Amino acid sequence: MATSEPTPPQGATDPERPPVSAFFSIPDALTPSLTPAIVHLKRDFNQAVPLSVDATLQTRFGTFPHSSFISLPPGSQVRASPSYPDPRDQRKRKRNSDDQPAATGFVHVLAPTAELWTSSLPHRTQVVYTPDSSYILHRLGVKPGSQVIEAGAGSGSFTHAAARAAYCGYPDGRDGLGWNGEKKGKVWSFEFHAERAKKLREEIANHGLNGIVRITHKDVCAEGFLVFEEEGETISPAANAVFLDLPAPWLAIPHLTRTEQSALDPEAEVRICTFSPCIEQVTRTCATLRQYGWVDVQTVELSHQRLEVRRQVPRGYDDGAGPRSIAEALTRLKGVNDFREQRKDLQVALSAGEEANFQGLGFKKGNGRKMWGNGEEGRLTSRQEPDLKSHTSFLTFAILPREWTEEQEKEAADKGEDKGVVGEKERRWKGQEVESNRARKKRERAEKKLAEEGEDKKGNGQAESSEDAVKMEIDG
Amino acid sequence: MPPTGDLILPGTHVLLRLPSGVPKIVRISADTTISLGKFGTFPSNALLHRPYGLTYDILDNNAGLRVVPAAEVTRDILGGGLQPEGANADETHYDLNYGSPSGAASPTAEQAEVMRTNRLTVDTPESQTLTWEEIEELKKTAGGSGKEIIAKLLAGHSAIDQKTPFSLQKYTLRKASKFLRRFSVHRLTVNALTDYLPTQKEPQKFLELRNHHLGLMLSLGNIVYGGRYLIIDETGGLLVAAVAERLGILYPRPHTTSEPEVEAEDADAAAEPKKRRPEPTPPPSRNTITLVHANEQPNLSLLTNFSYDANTPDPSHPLYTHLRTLTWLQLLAPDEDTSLIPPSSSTPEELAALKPGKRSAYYRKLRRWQRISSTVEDTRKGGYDAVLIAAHMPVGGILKAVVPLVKGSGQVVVYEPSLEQATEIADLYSSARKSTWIQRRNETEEKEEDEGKKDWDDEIPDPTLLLAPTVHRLNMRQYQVLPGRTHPVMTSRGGAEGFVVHATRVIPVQGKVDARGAYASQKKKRKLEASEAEKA
Repeated sequence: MATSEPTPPQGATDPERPPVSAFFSIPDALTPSLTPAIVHLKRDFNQAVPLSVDATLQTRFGTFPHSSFISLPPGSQVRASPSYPDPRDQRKRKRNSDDQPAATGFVHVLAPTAELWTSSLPHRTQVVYTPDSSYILHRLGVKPGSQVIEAGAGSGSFTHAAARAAYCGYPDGRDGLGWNGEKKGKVWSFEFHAERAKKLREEIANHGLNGIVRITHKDVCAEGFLVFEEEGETISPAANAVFLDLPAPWLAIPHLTRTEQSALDPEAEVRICTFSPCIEQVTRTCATLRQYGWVDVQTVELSHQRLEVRRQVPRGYDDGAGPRSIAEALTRLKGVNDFREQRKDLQVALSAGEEANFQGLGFKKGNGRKMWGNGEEGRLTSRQEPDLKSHTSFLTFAILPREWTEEQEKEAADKGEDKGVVGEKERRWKGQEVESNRARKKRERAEKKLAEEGEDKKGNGQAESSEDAVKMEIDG
Repeated sequence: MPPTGDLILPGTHVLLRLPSGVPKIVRISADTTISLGKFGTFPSNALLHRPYGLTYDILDNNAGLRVVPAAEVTRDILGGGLQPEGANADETHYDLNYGSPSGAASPTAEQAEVMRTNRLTVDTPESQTLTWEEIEELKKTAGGSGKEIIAKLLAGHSAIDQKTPFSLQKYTLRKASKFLRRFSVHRLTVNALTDYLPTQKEPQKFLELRNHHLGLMLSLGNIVYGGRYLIIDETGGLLVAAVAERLGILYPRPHTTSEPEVEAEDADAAAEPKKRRPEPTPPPSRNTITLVHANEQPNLSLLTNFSYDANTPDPSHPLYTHLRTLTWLQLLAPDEDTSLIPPSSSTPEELAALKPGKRSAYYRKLRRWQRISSTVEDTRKGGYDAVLIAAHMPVGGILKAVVPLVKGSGQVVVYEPSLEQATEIADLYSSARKSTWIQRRNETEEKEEDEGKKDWDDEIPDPTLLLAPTVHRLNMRQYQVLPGRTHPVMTSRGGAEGFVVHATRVIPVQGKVDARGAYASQKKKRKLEASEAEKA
């Protein structure tokens, strides 16, 4: 194995070698850092907080000095600091006690992930949300070592997800990960809005993603995808996956060709995804893609909903609501009828001066008190979240095969002649006549013995041929 | 310059897409013949050392393959519609005029021409003048990789001039998908395999997992290179393959190619020290997958598509060291598993006295035990970055067993084919159950320190360990994008919809004080409210 994997220098405070980003490796303990920890206040309400020693976090669930987070393992539940009572908050909570969650005064503090960052993101542009970005990355086949072009970095949500997928160690080797000499995965991010690019560059540095993500301030539609170096030279990202989140992707596609100064990996097929909300953009993009030699053009749309799961405990008359069933309704209606009759009888009797038997209501009247259960009663139901993202964008995928010239074809044809027995590998593959190492050794020993005894020379020959077969398997 | 880089190497599985759209997985090895049924046969050497993503025509008479240029592929898909589309894309796309179906730019000029419809089209079998015998004969004789036969069919159609351009294109495409002897070669990625599986196998076998679910699971699971992941996969290895792909350990490492002799030497060198039994190198502690399986052996049959056979694994494959498997018994009750009993220890003298066969048997057993016991020990220690589950069995029990093994802030992701199963999981971690759990824990702690836990339900996991369980529903809709004919595809595959449940492992506050305080205060408040209601 060429993999060298020494123990991770986690939490190392060597200034030369900054620690691995918490986005890539959950740290053992929270430390003061510019990389934010994510404070989970309640469902769908996260806050990215860069921890520092003397700061305090004010929330509606109480006050949390950062020192109460530091040195805890990520994922810890943290109590509000008792030294900062917030009387206003208390009063407010008492007033509307109905929607009061049971666990006030807690937060959870989590290690950042691309998803949590997206959900707590300072929105600058339309965000590529997780359901879309996850499918895009899977479909583009982004894996450790990939070179990903992202144009239209925007708020950096996709940038983080792509960096996570392409990551296979830092170029400076600070994490001791990755194969030696292997090209490290990288996200080449382009943003034509100067302010956004600057902000994003800061964030990337703060999140410890320098070396994995490279932000370039550039209009790719006009200038293409080559990245400028210091001395006026340009370098090619040599990308094998491209994601375009641009208003007019068809203007950028002509820059993604197999020309001399190409931004694409010359030795691999390139996959592209464009992200456009309008169908007109899609048709135009598809036309341009086809025009420039991309094949397998496909457009899909994802629809994503989160479901709320509830126990539906029907509230009856006891709880001041309607009937739970028809039977209950009938009982009550009968009871009311009966009550009315009794009252009439009573009045008649009273006016006649007689004694009457009055029983009152024939059913129990509730006091509106809600029963608390153990969470196992009622029917399990699900419903969509209240605010749906019913359309995000159309995703158009395509593949640009690598260039294949006549000469290359000829050379490949010359090379194609591997010597071997036709069908041998197939048989081994299908599980027929596959011999375990143990069985082979045993057989070889037996054959050797036979050969030594000088009885049969054939056995030896067979052993050799089987050895050949094993070598071939290793080749394959 | 010899062709290098990303090429089809001997022994890899590739995905061929036939003109009919049917995918086919083929293992490419040298000097064999690959048959595509009615579409013909070709020698495998014509694909070896060629790049992925190309489209080929099968030449007649088993003469090999011809690379089809992308422009030609596109033209045939569009039915010759590339030119008007490329030339004046704006007009044809945005001012689609049914009066000018040929894509002419100026509708006014053709105002006189009435929109052509299928009003007068009469469907009869007679409209095709060629008989089936003639077509059969053509199939055998016509050349041009099927193009000739299509041309003859079109020529032999008597009502071809009645067809609208759209229906003519559709007719041509239909005939092409039947007779054109063309296919494209694709890398067999997890994505391609997941698309391929539903066309072949029983979908229940892999829980009807689809690509968008897999993608979402990988993202929500925060799968990142260097992490340790625990996986429960009853899909035959699809989930393992997806995670392995994201960790970069699914595909065999490209050897230092071009010189096969070097490889052979390497293989020999690797085999040589094995005989001398070196100290086994410690297995990697990062970037690993641990699979827990229910049977004696894991079912990883789908990994054979990536040249990894779980029964006779290839030591050079990255999964050989980075994928570890253990059974539920080894994980939950290691004391009861016989394979974890160490082989009876022998002194070196005793060993030396043994027969060579016995001695090697002893060492084999010893190494096996070392491997299994280190895996079990490592797994039971926990500290996983995430756990991903796709299982047939009820997940509640699985979660009870594996969630404690995930480190704080790690992700828990479960795939379920149906909504009912997904809601059940989310419900196991509902806030009502959480408060009940805390209350019960406090009560049992008050009564007895250690007992009490035993009579809790077996399948109910500790609900306080997971934060914000969320059920995701994700659907994909495919679109046909052709000039002037863009719409969602008319049919697609149904079946289980598929849901992904995601939650984050958290570490609840130690001690009962706060939790009980909150509970008690609420109880007090309710009592107060009740008494107020009675007074009123």
